[in-house]
Amino acid sequence: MKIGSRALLLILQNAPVILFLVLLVVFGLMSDRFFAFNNFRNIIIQAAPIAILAIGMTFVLLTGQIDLSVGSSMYLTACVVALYMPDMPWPASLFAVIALGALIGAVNGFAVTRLGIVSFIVTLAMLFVLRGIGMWLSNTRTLMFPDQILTLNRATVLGIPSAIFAFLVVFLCAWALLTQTPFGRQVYAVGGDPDSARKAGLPVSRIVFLCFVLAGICAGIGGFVSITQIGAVGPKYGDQVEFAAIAAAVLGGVSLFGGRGSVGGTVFGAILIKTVQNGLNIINADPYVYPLVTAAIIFLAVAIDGTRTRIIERLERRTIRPLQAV
Amino acid sequence: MAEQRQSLSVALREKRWIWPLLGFLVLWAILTALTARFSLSSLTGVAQSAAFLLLPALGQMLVVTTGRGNIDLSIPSTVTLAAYLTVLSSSGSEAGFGVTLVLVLALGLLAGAFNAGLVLLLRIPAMIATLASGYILATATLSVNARIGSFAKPPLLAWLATGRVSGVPVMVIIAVVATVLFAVLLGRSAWGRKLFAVGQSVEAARLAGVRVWAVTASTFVLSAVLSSLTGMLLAGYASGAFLEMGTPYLLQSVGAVVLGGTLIAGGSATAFGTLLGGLLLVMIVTTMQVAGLPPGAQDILQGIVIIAVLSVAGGRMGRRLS
Repeated sequence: MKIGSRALLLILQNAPVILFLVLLVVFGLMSDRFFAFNNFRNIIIQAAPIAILAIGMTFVLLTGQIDLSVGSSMYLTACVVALYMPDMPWPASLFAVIALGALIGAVNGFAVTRLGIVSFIVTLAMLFVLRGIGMWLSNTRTLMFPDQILTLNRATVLGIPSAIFAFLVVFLCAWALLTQTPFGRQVYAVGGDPDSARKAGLPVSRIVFLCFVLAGICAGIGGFVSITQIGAVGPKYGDQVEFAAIAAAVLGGVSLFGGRGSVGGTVFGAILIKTVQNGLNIINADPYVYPLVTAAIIFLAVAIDGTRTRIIERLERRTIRPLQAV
Repeated sequence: MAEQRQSLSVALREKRWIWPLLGFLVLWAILTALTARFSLSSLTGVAQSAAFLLLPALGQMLVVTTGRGNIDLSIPSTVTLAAYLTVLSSSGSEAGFGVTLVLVLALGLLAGAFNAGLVLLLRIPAMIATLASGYILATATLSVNARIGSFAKPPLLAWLATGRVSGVPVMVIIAVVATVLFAVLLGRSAWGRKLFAVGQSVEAARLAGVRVWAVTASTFVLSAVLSSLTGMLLAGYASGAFLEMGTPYLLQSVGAVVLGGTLIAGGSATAFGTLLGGLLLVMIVTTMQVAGLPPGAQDILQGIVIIAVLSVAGGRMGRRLS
């Protein structure tokens, strides 16, 4: 029983990696353009915005909460940059986007931790509120971005395309924060068992609040990277992106039940999703197939998460006498 | 006197639907006093819009009442796809309407069973499961979007959606009947008691012999069926179908449930509250249209109202949970 569970767990935990390898082989066999260096670089550039969003989402998911408002945060911050900062240098825009994202995250965090409202309702309401504000400000027009932002898309840092560079910076910061600092360990503690964390004296509310702020900041940065790539933003921009971000995190092994996962996994999940889309694109799949495939992958990932959580709970169930190590 | 005050406070706690009723009356009074444009006939318009919102809101209420963060986010996609099915399958005759009705009900049953399967068998959190199934339904809608032609509206559907009985819209009568039906089901039937039991404590309900999965599955199926019926009626009302048709019903169904006093943590629901909550929400939206506010403002206000109501009700919910 126990050994069987552990074997199943091992398979479940590596299912996304197996899926990735299978996809590589399938797409590689169906098109010789898939295995080009340029194509892989493109996949990572395309994956960068979602990956950055998903990294922020990881913090929120790790505490056992959820943020459905990140797509709308992207839209609102993009609107503010396009409408009010057309002549500013890009670092000012980036700073504004980070500050506004942090503010949005703080509102979410405040509602969840101080007003005591469950996060999926707060952030669902915020999804509409933020998009509403963006539509109000922009009058639902499609907004164009100034040249100093658009040229960033072609810029490189140390030979690395700017999108990949931004993605690496966010990834390294998030990784260091989660694995190398007390805050990171506290995030896992809160997600694993909020009651025990509180009894151990951790400021649970403050940690959850900060995770929402981090998600907001990542939504701002991810949105900024995305606008350098697409150049114009309409009222549907960022719609359902929260879905992709959650999917990336869960595919990478972050549990929707809190306490388990890593930013490395999340990044892998984001690249996996973009690889699927890229592959479908290269083999000229029917556009209606895309959402179906994406939804199927998400079901798979979340079903794996549910099964894995149950197995782990079963394995960790306390017995009267300690079991010998298996 | 003290006894009276205590019974009043108990009544306010038990009958949470009093709050949306008060809000509705206050808003109505303000509107009538401030603008000459608001009349009894615009109140009928409010009632009609609220009637269309009511069915999905009742479904949302049932799902939310099962607790554990259950919610149905696939409602807007179900509404839209049902409207498309109605337009595509209608031939203009009453016999054809039978076919449409069967198709629409089948869609509701299938979508609901699918959601229930994801949540109960695969143990996917409802929020994610219904978000993803909504995504699939929306894709199905997109794929039939190009085939949509003229709409031969069956006379019976036209009467249901736009007809009036001595001045009262048929839809409003449907809404009131549905509210009474669900109020009776929740308050007087074994199913209603089981639903509350599941929402309050899954473990206790299971130990008491309640088939938790059957109760939970029934709410997802009812929610999807009510949503697909709404889509059919909306197609009859708007004489057609369009892609964004169901979009408002996501936030508004949650809003009506929350405003009506149903606990978002589950275990307690009120059908009359949901009716009044929907009425209040539509009234707020109408007020803003009368005031001529810009696009997006409706969503902003509805979202803020939901957060505000929950932050006021939050303390009570927190105590219940502990």
